[in-house]
Amino acid sequence: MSTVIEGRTGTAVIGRVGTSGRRIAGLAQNTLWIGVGMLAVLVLASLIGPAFLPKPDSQDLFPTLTGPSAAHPFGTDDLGRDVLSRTLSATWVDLGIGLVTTYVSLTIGIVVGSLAGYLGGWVQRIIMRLSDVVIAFPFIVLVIAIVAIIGPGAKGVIVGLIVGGWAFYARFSRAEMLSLREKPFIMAAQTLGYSRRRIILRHALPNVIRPGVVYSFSDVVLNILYIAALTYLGLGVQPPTPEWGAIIASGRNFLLTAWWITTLPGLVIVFVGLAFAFIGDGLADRLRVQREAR
Amino acid sequence: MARFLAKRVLEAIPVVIGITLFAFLLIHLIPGDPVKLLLGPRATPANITSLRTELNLNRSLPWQYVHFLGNAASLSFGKSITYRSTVGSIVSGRVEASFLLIGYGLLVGLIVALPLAMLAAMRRNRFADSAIRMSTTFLFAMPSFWLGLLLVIVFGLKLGWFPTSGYGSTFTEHLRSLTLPAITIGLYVAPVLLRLQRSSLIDTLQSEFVEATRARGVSERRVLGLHVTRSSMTSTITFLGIFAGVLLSGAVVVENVFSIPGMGSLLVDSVTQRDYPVIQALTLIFGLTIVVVSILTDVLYAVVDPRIRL
Repeated sequence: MSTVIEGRTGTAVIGRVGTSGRRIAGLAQNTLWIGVGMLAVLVLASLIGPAFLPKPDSQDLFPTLTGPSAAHPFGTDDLGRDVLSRTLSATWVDLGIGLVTTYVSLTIGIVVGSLAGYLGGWVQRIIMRLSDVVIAFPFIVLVIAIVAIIGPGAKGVIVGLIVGGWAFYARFSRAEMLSLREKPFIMAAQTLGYSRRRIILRHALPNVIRPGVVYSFSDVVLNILYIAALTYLGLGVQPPTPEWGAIIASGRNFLLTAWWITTLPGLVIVFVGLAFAFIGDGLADRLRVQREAR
Repeated sequence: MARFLAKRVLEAIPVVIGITLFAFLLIHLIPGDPVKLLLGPRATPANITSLRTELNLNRSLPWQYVHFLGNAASLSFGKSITYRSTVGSIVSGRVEASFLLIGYGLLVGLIVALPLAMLAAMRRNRFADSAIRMSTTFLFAMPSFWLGLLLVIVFGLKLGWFPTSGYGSTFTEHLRSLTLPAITIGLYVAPVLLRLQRSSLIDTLQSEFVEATRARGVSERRVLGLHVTRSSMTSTITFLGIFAGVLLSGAVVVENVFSIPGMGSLLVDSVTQRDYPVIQALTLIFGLTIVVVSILTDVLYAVVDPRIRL
């Protein structure tokens, strides 16, 4: 059976349906390492690349808008800046915001959701109503509304992605906790007179975290896509900080004359997205997350 | 059925209160004085006082909230800051393009996803399935605005088949202008739709009634095309509420890429121009749309599957 986890952008169907045979299991393990390898390549490139490439913000106004060449593999933009160099230096911005927003959301969501599930009562009611409201909004509308409050910029996007992101983790952690509460090993811990705190932290939480972590890899992809999209719309990371969405947007006026400014940085986003998707897929198969979220 | 519907509507009330509260508080959560922010640095004290009175900011918060609810119920959200006309008239002029785009996009998504889901389910764990699976992962990782720009470069600029932006003035022009945006949205939602439908098809294919139908001598085409498809759709319907959120999110971005005069491009413009009354109205409309869709989903589900109503 596959695991259908209801996420905020729909569902992530985790794990292969009816995985059988050593061949597929082997492939599954490979996807994990392929993903890790792809990520490593990108991180290495963004570390080593700058040594061989022109500085991301160094302008060379003579050869502006030149196509891909050996000196400038992704070409140059209208200010003569090297597009590959800018794309690589944006890696830290996008990857950083993507990881921070995802794992802060995950932590808040799992803690809050587990408490709701374990304690029940009014704590649970308040937390669940709040998450209902968050989930009721189309995700990007909620993030944009938060940006409207805080003001366009990285801070607004980060807060927005967390405000929108925790609710999903809270919901499924609560569901998980509710079913865990009935499990013999938790009852045994209660009978042994362990404190509530110890039971939640030491016995229940590890079992809640696992599916959350597996799902979180697709969340990193989604968050990176949202950062890039919001920056493209002018609401995210502000210039001159290089960011993938911003670089793509800067090529909008030269779509026909300088297609490389828009198209090539997008390939890097796809590359990162695939890397995280592979890692998530591989992990799901390894950890054999097998539960129905509904 | 009436009781089921009533129960479902009652359940939605806390969410609706939450959505209205958030939209209401939007203007109060802005750090600093919203009025000074709205009027800019050159505002005179007289202007500030008059706008403060116009926005009722000198009344108590509960009074303002009740007032806001009353206004929202009669679809009046006050005056836009930038356009100097009522928010209601601005927003209502934007509804058509958005819904046309979403409908068109959904259609494209279904046309792409459903046949592929069937193929993947039938060739499970074989080459076709893996290839389809791989391409959904690829689509999932693709930024929608970037995909839109690629389509513009190829089909708009190089081949010149479709307009690259705008909306046109007649219905045929609308459809032509919305084709590239709709393909973008369609490809954006297709992976989600495809994966859901594939796993639901696989569950259905394994159920006994399919064997029974085959045993009755019903042709394979009819079994797959009618019985399996219909039965698998019921579980996909459950996700319609979440799916509507994905579609609307996609539309917000894509409308901006193609400069379509819809609610999504209005939302982004209003944030850039700090036009808070418009932002409030749109936040409310987007949130309530999802609530209504999810109620309709449950009703639809109850119609299709009578066991739910028990």
